[in-house]
Amino acid sequence: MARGPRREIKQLVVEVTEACNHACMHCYNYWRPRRGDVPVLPVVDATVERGRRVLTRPDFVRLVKKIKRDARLHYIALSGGEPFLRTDLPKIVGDLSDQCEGLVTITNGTLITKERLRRMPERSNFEITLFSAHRETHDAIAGRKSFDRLMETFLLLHKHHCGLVIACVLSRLNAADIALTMELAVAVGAQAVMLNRVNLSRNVMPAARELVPSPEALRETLAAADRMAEKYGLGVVLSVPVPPCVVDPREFSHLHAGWCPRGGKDAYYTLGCTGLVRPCNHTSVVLGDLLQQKWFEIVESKQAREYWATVPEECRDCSHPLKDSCAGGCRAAAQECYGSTAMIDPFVNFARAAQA
Amino acid sequence: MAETKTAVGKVTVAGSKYSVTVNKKKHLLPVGTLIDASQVRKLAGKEVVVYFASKPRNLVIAVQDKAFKLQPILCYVPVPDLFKALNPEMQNAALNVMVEKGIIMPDLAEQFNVGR
Repeated sequence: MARGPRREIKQLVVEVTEACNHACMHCYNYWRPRRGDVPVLPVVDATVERGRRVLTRPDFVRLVKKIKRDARLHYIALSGGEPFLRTDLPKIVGDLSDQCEGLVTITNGTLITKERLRRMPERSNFEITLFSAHRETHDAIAGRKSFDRLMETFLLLHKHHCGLVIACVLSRLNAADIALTMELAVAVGAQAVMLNRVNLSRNVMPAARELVPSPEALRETLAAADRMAEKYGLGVVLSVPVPPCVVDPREFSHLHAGWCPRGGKDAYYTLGCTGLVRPCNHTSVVLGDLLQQKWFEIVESKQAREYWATVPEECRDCSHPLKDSCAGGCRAAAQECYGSTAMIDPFVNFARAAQA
Repeated sequence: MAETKTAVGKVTVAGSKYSVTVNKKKHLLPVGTLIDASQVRKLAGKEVVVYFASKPRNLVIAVQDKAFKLQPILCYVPVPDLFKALNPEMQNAALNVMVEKGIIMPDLAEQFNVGR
């Protein structure tokens, strides 16, 4: 296969481990065990996950350099699992920061210590999950008592002048708390808030009715978030797209609505901890093996091109002005829950059912 | 899938008649059915993005404030543009709310407090 032209890739998600010390109710990771089965993991480095050797720190650097031979890479997001379960995480952050313009570590924040922070580049950026300003609600959603530890982490990041974005997964469980949660985010120094409406996957489906809010409840929640964004001049992003047939995001002028980039330079291809590349971090679909293949062979393959191309049958006659941006919602969620990207985002079905 | 056509126009309100002018051509807005009158009144005199139906092609199905922001934000991942300095006064105001509601203890809030 001839080498393709040098492409641009804005963001790459790098999952450094599949292990996690939380058991979040809404966790979409396809490898997650059933809630309650998750052991409290010690801080150790696994060497094999899902039958494949886990990439080492030099492996990650080598593979990112390999990607850069085919594409101009701007930003890296380190994710997991819980990235800080790897003891070499600070060094991975340092190494990969040298390979891109900016790096953010997506974490639950419970394993960040002063010592680990000291070993990381100064003013590192973090995206940390906070589900509620109410301790009991946050801990219930996280599946672990972690709220108080999280407050200590926020203080640590504040003292070290780190970048902080709070990610709050919106569900029926915490929708009523959103205004207070956003105020807490401002109080602890968050520079922005990402409101990610719950995005379903196969393992989350049994709890979908407990999690997906009705359109009316979601609208009220977003209206509350909109008021807080205006009050505090806070950047708030609806990162996981809200299907406009459920709630039209244009109703909220202080919230930035985001859409799935569906491939191209804005896609956030995901490099798993064993070297497999997926279209995004929500899906279990594997496009290729970066240990064996070149980057452009993977992302320009027919499978990669076709992954996002399908628009669900029931959305084809949609006349909503945002239909081209929405195009049926999250294709990965449809694939994970219904086995086909030709289906509508399951969030739409459960939201409608909640309304009924 | 048929593409929705868009253009830039300007909204005018004359009595109970609402219209949007695109390329000097005035299109009556179907206020009351597809578009809410109170929302259209807010857009009067402003530049808007006008959405036309696929069929018939000259039927306006929606107008949207041109200032509305649609950012290519990526799922789950914060784009670097998000990291902006927080107003210290706002942070302190939020800290006070958290202390009043008992969510953050006063001694912890004191350590977060900026500008003191």
